[in-house]
Amino acid sequence: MNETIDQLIQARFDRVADPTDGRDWSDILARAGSVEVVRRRPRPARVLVAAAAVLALASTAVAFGWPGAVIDFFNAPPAPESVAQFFETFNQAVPRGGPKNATVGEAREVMTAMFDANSFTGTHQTEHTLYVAPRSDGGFCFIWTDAGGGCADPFDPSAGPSGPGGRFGASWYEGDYATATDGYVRNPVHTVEARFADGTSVALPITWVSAPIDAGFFVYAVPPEHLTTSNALATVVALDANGDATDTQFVGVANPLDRDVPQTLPDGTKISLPRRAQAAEAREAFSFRTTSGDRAYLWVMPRTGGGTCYVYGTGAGGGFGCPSPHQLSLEPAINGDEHAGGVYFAHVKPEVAIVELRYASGQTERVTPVDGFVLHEMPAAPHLATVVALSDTGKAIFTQNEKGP
Amino acid sequence: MESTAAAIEVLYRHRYTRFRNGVAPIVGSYEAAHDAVQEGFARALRASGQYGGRGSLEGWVWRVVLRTALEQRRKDADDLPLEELDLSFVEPERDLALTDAVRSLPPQRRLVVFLRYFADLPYRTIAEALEIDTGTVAATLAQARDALAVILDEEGVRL
Repeated sequence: MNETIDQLIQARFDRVADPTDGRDWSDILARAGSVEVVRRRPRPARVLVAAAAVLALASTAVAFGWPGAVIDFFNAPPAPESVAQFFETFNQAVPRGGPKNATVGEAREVMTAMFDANSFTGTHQTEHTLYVAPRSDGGFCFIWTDAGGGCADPFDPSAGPSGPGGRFGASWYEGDYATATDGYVRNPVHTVEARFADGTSVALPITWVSAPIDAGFFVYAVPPEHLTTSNALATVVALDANGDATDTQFVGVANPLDRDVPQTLPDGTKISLPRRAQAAEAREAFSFRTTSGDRAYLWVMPRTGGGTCYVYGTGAGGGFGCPSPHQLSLEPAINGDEHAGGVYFAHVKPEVAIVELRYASGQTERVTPVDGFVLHEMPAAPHLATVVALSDTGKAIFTQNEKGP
Repeated sequence: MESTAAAIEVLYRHRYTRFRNGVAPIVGSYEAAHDAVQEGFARALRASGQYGGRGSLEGWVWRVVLRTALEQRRKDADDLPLEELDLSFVEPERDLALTDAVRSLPPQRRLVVFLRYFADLPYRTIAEALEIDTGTVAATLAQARDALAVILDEEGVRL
């Protein structure tokens, strides 16, 4: 029960968190003074399975007919000291659930690959090397240098497909679209496919690493021609030996215009809004102090593609929206609600000249929309009963009954 | 020295966003949070020789970053201790119910909640970062979770 609540709460926090990336390690080095941090060995380009470690086939792989490259873990090149320390970090910075105990001294090099993990544009492919370290409990940890990594619990066939002990883990590097994906598989996953929004797909090479790892690793740099809404990477799918899809990771493809990005309103306020909201052109339709002293405001701005975007705050909350003209056409003449703190917000259609707020006490207030919006502080203990839209001739054209007190 | 510095780098590369989002409620904006995280990591890097391996590296870096954020906040606001700061979401309009639920918590509990759910920190690291008992963290989160669950329930979310 608590886990479910925890997950729900986590999902809510994830939704309000700012997902944009602002990492700049060089800035930290500059602030700290010159500190030599990590030495990375130059490597030839493209996915190169560490040649010395590729064996014809290793025992575990043979057992289920592994079709791809196989690396004998203990014959693979040991990780350099600086990389071994990465795994020490996993031990120290374990996300959840207790110590992971990556066996730092046993970290081995698996392969190198070129992909874009840091610019998120897909245009700055750099070399990354995969290192894997076993864990004392039978799991493993892995890291792609200068990119990302993770840990997997001991394989548990009864675990969910993509849980910590599951058979399939995939992640991706993402700007407007996914620029690369990497992950691991365990028996019985046989094949991994990258599937695109246009219905095409490509099978990804998997490099199997023998015991004690007993897992296959893949990485795929999404080609530039698959960096548009219509053909971006949409899912990463695991298939069994029969070619049946067993697990799917949904990457999700959104129009870049609908992605939230940090924007600045004309008064200097920083706020995350969809890219299609033209924040620089925003106008403040409402701005007033509520009786509790909070600032209430509403900004409206042009929407790329037509329509209007808005953002408002009442001191006790607020909201934002970017409805398309089509979405707007489906809304009633008044689409509003009262907020905590006694502020009424509504988005109204152009034919609405006056919004009449009728309270349970019999009191009535009339508010004139500005740019299609109303933001109004109601009287104390308002008990709003009905909202009526009036035309410019005073004719009631829509009535919205509100919840009672 | 170098190995700790390397570990700090990988911690930064993996968890920058969580650091920034976790610090944002203290300093009031994501921009200021970025600056606090950058400065905090720079300080941690300079002082990496002082990390003696007691407790997790992440907990130690969090302490440095939180201290940096608090200093930044004090430049602009009252000289309040961390546990008395009025922490809230940078963009409350993103989720009004969640904002209300978090604001219903005492200020000293909110940071624990932010570190848990924004920074995704385990109890132990939260305890290390705030220099409080793990049991206190667990109790605080249990109370916070109950309060948040009530709000979600009132919204009709099935629990």
